[in-house]
Amino acid sequence: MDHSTKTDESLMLAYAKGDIASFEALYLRHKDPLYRYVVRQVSDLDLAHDLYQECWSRIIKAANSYSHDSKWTTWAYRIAHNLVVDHYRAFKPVDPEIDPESVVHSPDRLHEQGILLKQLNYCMARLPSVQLEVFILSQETDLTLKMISDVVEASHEAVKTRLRYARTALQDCLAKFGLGPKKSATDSGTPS
Amino acid sequence: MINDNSDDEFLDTLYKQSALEKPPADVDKQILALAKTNHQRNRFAMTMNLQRVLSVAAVMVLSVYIFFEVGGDRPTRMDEEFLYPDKSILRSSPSATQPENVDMSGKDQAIKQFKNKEAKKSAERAMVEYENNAIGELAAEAQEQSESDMSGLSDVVSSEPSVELSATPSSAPSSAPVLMRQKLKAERALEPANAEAMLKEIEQLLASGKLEQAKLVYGQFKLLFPEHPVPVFISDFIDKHKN
Repeated sequence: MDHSTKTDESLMLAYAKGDIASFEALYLRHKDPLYRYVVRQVSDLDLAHDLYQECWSRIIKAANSYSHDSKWTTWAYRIAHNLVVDHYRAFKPVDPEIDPESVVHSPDRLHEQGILLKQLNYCMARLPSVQLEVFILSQETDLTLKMISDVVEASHEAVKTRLRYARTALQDCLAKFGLGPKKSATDSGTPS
Repeated sequence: MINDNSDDEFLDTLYKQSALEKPPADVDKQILALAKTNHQRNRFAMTMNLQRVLSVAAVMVLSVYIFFEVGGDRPTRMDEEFLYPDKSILRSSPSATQPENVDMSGKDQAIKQFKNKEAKKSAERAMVEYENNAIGELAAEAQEQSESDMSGLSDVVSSEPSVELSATPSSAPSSAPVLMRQKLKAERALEPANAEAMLKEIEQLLASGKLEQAKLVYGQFKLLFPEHPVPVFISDFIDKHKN
């Protein structure tokens, strides 16, 4: 049976009725974005793995009580959001300080792409957690701002503001490395 | 607007290039295994729930049935005393080695005494009825016989015991003394006529030379009428020829 054309909701309902293949299809479809959503917010990789597994465990256990009222992605990411909030945000670790100069002028210049990604990761790590979460959700999922506001339990306007600030902060951070298509140093704003 | 579209596209492209993290394979396996296990557990739980519901329903149906079945056949007050005895009986229940030492309550003893009394009364009533009937019949026969030929009286009297004994129910061995009493009563009622008739019979037998028969009738006479006076010549004659 071809599960690629089925929606997330129908796959979840099929799994609740006993179709294991539906769950496998659902898992393959969402495992990477959900994993990155957790890992990029939690610096401790072991803790991130635990939270990721716990998230899927809760999804599996709640399969029988899943209702078609909400979009599956919204429901699943809210579970992940609650886990991250419970286990991580109360003990926000101090990110390892990275010297932008060391990144830019490292001897690894030959691997420019790798450096670029490192610089992006560095800039993302500088973001406030609420802005980072909204940014990751906007990148990893096809959720609208309204749905993201449901996931993170914030108002639509707050989510919109967080996303805008996150983008601005990342672009400013990347500009410090001399990256970006065009960057005017005069019109860049710092988010509060 | 702080950022233009080209900045956004650059950022999105850069993020997509950086988004390469994937969960480890062992984590994938664990999650899929958990999904299968949970599914089997759910099926088992559903089955168990169904069985639990069915068993509860069965117990309820049986309980209702038993309640109405027992309630429709309530024991009477007398039965209740036997079905639900006093606690004193339960407290002093006899051991297996002493089954005789049952500590009966006052109620049980009263019931037992009542039953014994009833049985005695009914037995006495039956005996009195039987006596009355027998006396009435014997009296009627005696009157008839006294009016008829006097010579036949001795036969009637001698045959009475066998008639009465044969009429006695064999299932009542304890009624033998009662019958004797009845017989004596009947004989006392007929005493004067019978005694005289027997004496006359003895005289006739002696006169006709039937000594042995005379002795037999005399013996019966003495048994039946030990205090009745006997003519001297009869007693002397019988005494002389005793041996």
